[in-house]
Amino acid sequence: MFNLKSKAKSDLLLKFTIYFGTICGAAVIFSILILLIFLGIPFFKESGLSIFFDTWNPGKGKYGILPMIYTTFIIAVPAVFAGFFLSLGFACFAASTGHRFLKKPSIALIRTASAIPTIVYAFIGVFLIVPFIRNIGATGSGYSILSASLMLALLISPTMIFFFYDSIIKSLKSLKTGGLVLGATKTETLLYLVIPNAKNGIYSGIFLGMGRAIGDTMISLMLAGNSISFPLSPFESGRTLTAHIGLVMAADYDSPEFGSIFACGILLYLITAVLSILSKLIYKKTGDY
Amino acid sequence: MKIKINNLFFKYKNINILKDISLEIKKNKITAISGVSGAGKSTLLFCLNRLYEEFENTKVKGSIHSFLDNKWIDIFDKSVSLPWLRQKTGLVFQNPNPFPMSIEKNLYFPFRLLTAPKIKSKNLKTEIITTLKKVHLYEEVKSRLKMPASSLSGGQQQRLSIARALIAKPEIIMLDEPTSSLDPESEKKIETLLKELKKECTIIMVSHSMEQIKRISDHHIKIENKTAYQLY
Amino acid sequence: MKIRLFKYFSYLSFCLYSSVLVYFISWLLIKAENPFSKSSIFGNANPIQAILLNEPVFEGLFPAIAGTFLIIITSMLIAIPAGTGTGIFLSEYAGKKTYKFLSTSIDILAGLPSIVTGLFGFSIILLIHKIFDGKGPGFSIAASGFSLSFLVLPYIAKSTEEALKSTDKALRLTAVLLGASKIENIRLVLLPKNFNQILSKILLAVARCAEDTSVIMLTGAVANSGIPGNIFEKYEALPFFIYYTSSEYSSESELLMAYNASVLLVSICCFLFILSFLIRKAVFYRHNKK
Repeated sequence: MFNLKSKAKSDLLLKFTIYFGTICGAAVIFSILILLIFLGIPFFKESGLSIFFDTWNPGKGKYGILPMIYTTFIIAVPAVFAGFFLSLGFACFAASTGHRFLKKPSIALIRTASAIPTIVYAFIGVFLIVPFIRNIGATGSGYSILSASLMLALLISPTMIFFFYDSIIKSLKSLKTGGLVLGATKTETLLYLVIPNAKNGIYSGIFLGMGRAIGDTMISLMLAGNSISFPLSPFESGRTLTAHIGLVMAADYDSPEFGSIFACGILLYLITAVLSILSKLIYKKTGDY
Repeated sequence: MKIKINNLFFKYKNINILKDISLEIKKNKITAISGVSGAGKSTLLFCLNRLYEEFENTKVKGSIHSFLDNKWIDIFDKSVSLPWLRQKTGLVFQNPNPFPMSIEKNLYFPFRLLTAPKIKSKNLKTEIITTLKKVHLYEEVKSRLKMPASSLSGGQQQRLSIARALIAKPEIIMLDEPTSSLDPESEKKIETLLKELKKECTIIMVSHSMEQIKRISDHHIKIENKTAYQLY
Repeated sequence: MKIRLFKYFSYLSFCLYSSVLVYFISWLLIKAENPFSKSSIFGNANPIQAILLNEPVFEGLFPAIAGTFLIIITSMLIAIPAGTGTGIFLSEYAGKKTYKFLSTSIDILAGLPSIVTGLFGFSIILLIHKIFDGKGPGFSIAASGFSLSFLVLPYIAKSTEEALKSTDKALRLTAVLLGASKIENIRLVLLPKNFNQILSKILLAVARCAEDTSVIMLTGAVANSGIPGNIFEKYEALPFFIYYTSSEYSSESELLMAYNASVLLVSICCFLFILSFLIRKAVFYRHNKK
């Protein structure tokens, strides 16, 4: 008959895998935060919590990351804003308003777009967007928050489009006939019935896009210019929290400069954790509107 | 006469559902349609407002002419606007399908459309209340108009669906087994409603109950073996 | 009319996005020259000798490809068992409170920016450096693989959990009713049934490992190291190559290598995506054949 010993062994192996895996998974989430704080402590001792609120001025001994916080948001928010409209329009096109022959290819196009790595988007941005911005902007080298924002919008769109598209299709299935039979056109049904009903999925998509926009490194690193400042014009350059971590890593391990990257890391951790929790809470609300 | 159906054929996935149907629906009368399950009663209704076009693998042959807006219209003509046709030829489904919003918003919905009946905005609320009274639902929901429509019972939802269809002010209204999920009292109310309504609309009703048909219908069509027989 | 505007807005979005995307992709494909050719990958070296590690490759992408390959293997060796284990636990064993806690943690981990995961890996390297006084593993394939595994672990865990949870209730109970224990049910029924789905998600995780730059940037990827002798040495990787070439290229031919590397990387990811899609759909064919 069956080899009982080997069956028991496989069961045991599986059980071990399960528990080992879970412990790893659970441990990691906290160890990341703890490790970051632990390593950041020596630097916090010097500047205290002011590191989050100060501006960067090495001459005066100030290593605050406020300029990075500002730049992260000045790049992420417009990107999500533009990306939202682009993605919603595209998703509506693919789900309902588009011509029969264009609907399926448009989804295939988005699938391809989502397979393109961030680094390739950033790379293309360096050679196509930066010169373009350099030409239309009166000042600057082209490496600017505008370049980064534009490419970021393009980067987060495929994910948002998929989210919006899935929610709209689901909503369409149940509500389309009900709307049409009352004399509504396809677009009226879409705008007045389907989209309000898909609100949850749409909010989720926005949060996801926001998370990606704040957390993306390569695009801000390669396109935004990396100067530590408070860029006011879209053609100026700036440095985000993520880019700062990537750039300072090569510095002296004991300098206060170095400590600032842990401050960035902790801040990014907290922001994305809050976004994750918020997006989950919003998704749980019921679908009545 | 309101509708003339000539030699109508309906195919779904290449299977004939309806064969060579020729009928006349009289104006301002209640016409009942009966037949066994799956005989094609709902299909016939879907033809009258071209709803079948929203489904795949459907094919139709023949002609249907309806007298709408004081003109005879060939409803299969390419120039006919579908939303307009569907507003004129309303349909209430067998299973109530309230929109996932409040009762009030459900009823306001037809007013937001391009095909909405021309009513002044200050009269909208009165229009809604009148229609709710017509379907004998007003007393039951007047205190909770802002509650979600999904909180109503099945019978109430059905009456809400009928009210919503009536708000669009159709000339023809088709109801697919409107009282099958209602208790006898609600059923009686709906039957009274339909009898009053026929002065304004032409009513086509699918029903399984012979008693109901005898009670309220002026004409009776039976669908059997893919053809229609006008019984009276 | 508001409705018409909305319709045109959706047309505009489609046209704008499609044209920009198609323009970018075509530009890249045009700029690259024979990315899959012998010279692009192996440079002047003999391919077979290079693969056997007898000959170093200088003007080719082979070291970068090899490096990427090695970190994928290392990270998957950790991530697959840990991820599927966590997923199975979440789906089959977790109590309500544990589930809530663990699930939220996994979600937070999933949302973390990759650079923070990289920073974590970097911190571990620092810690080891401090503890072992400068000796011991530092920037290496092991470190990158370790960090990358945390990048994809939440994704694999969530996918496994979803796949298992979506199993038919009746199927779930069948083996148990015949006397199987919980773990036997998992091993013999639930896992095989959902194998396709889980495998397809693992392939997507592999693509994620291949394309990531921020993590490897902080844990061991360098510009010129050739192929590492063991997993505790520094290495080259495709995404990192693209990054530093784009910021510091000294000749057109170097830039050309970057174009080729980009096309190669995109092709690898597309290939994995397509494979993942096919594997996910394959289950339907097996059942429909009857």
